[in-house]
Parts: sequence; C-alpha cells; structure tokens
Amino acid sequence: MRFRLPRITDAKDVILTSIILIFAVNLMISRHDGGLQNIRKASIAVVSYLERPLSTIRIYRQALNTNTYLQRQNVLLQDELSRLRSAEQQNRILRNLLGFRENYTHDLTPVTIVSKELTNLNNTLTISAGEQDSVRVGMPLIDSDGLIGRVILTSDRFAQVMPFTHTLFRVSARIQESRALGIVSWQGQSYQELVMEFVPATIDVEPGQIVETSGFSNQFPDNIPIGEVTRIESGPNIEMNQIFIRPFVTLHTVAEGFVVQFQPDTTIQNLFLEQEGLF
Amino acid sequence: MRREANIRDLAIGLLLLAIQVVLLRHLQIFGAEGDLVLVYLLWICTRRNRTEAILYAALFGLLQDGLTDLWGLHTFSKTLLIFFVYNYLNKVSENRFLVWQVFLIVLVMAFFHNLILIFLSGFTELYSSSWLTWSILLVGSLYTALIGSFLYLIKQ
Repeated sequence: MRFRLPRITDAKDVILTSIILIFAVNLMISRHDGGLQNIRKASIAVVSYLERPLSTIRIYRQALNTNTYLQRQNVLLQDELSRLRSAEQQNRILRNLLGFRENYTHDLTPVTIVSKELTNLNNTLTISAGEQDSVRVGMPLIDSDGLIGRVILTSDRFAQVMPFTHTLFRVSARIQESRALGIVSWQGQSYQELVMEFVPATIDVEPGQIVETSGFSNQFPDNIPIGEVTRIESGPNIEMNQIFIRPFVTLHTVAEGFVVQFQPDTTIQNLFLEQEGLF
Repeated sequence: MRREANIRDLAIGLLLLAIQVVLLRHLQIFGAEGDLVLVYLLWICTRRNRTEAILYAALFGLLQDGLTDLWGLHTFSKTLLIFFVYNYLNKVSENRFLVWQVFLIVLVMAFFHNLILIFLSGFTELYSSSWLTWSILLVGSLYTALIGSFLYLIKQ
C-alpha cells in the first residue's frame, strides 16, 4: 500500500476552506452585532423585492381558501335560515291555534296530522288522537282557519278523518251575510273549490262572502268557517244557484288541528226518528 | 470562453437561489424544505475544480444565508460538505447514472448537509429551537433528493 503525500493544491483548498469556515463561524457569532444590521436590512429589502410578484399569487390562493370557507358557511347558514323559517312558520301556526282554542266555546282536543292520503280516489287524513283522547266518530276536525273534515273511524290512539275534499262529504252551511242555507260538498275536481247547493236564486250572493257551518244538520256545531264565495252559477234547477267556494284550509299544508268535542244532540235525533215513524 | 462559462454558471446559480428563496422556502413538507442551492453545488462539483467548487459553495452559501437571515449556517455547512465530497463527486461524474442512483447520491449528500446544519444550529444556540430536527434530517433530505432527481431527468 502506497502512502500519498498531500499535494500543494490540496493544502491550498484546506487553507481556503478553513478560512471560509472560520468566517462562517464568525458570522454566526456576530449575527446580532451592529455591523451586520445594515446588511440584514438590505437582505430583507432584496427578499421583499423578490417575493413581491409571488405575493399576488399568495393573496389569490388565500382568496380561494376564503371563498371555499365562505361557501361552506353560506350552505350552513342557508340551512339554519331554512330551519328558522320553518320554526317561525310553525310557531305562528301554533300561536294561532292557541288563540283560537282559548276563544272557542267547545272543548277542543289538539291533534297533529300524522298521515295524509290525498289521492282523489279516497281522500283521508289520520290524526294523532283516538278513543283514549275522547275522540269519537262524527266529531269535526278544524284548525284556526276553519273546517277540515269529520272523524269517520277511531282506534285507541289514532283516528281517520274524512276531509272536505271527499265526494261523500256533506255539511250544512250558510252564507254569513244573507244567512241563506245550503249543502256544501266537493265535486272531485279541484282541491281549491267546493260547491254550495240548494241556495235559492232569489238570494243575492256576492263573491267574497263567507260561508260557515249552520249547525242545522246536528252533525257540526255552527259558525265554523268553511270558505269564501268565488263565483255563482245557475244550477240544474233554474230556481237554485250553485255557489262555488274557496276553502280556507289548504289540506296539503295543514299539519295540526283540533278535534271539536261535539256530540249530536240526542233530543234532536230522537225527534227526527219520531218524525220518520209518523210517516 | 472560461469567462462565459463562469457567467453562465453564476447566472444559473443566482436563478436557482432566487427560486429557492422565493418559492421553495414556502413549499415546506412537514416543516422541511428542499435545498435547490445544494443540488446546484453538487452539479458544480462535476464541472469545476475543487477550489472553484469550494468558492462557489462559500459564495452561494453566504447569499442563501443573507436572504434567509441564517448568517453563516449555510456558508459553513455547504463549504464543509463540498470540501469533503468533491473528490468523490468529481470522480463518479464520469459515469452515467440511473435516476435512482442520482437520487441516492443526492439523498446522502443532503443528509450530511442537514446533519451539519442541525449540529450547528444546536451548537451555536443562535437559531430557533423549534426546528424540527427529524423532519429536516429525513424529509428535507428526501425532498432535496427528489428535486435533484427531477432536475437530472430534465437535463437528460
């Protein structure tokens, strides 16, 4: 094995490197001394100048991030706003119902509508109260706007209601202004239109007049609003008019209501039976 | 001819230094950044004699120190590294390398460079103690090796 002596060029590199390293160490130690401060200031200025074009990109990137964040916040706030609006709407409805309940003469059982079958063929509603809540067949279902329907079937905890948009539904009604009587039913065409029949053509009826239950049929208590008159047409019988009514209650949106604790007066029923027995 | 080569190499060095300071300094991975200046100096070793390579290392180390406010740290570590690895790099540069071989060489060089950096920063207690030692040592070295391999691929 041969030993190679260091060459002069190697020594030169060693000396050069040593000088540089000593210089570097000196720089490290005297970093915070006054002599370097001006150079440090200058280097900061140079870096700032170099980074200036990039700052636009950085701002743009920051803007994109902010945009994404704000979009997410927007979605969350929209969702929250939607829920608040829904709660406000429900609050308004419940306040109306509460006020209505306090002013109403009959006992009312508050219910929620748990199911709707509005298919035109056999329109029914299911409510969250049954025989346990003293709900009986024949009792009317109303809300603060007016009549909804009549209970036709009951179980322990639920009951089925025939709404006014059922072809078998009938209610004795009167026009508030003229007190003219008639029978209100649904013709099976539009959910926004009921028909009041058997109103004599001699009675002056105007659109906008209020139609309410008359109480004469012994099926519904009187003074329950049904709807308002929209138009009047001549009926099949020339002496009778057909009066078209827009119901106050919109069945597709109604969600709560009251069952009116109303039972037909047995005395009146007995009188009817007796009358039928006479003839 | 030689003067033109010097100017060209210096211009390349300054460009890479600017990229390092302006761009790579902000593209950190786990707190570690790649060192484009180191890759440049390793490349210089394959083109220049030892004295020139040492002077280049000192010059660009000093410039990097100045622009990153780490006075003396890069000057010391780069000069020392180039002094020790020059002979090896200059010798093997006559061969043609595969990318993974370049990756490995740069990785080892970057590892030793970062080791010196960490040693110095701990020894002098001049710099922030929040330096993530392991991240700089491992991730920083890998990052630099990736940059080196990528540039080698482009050059090829």
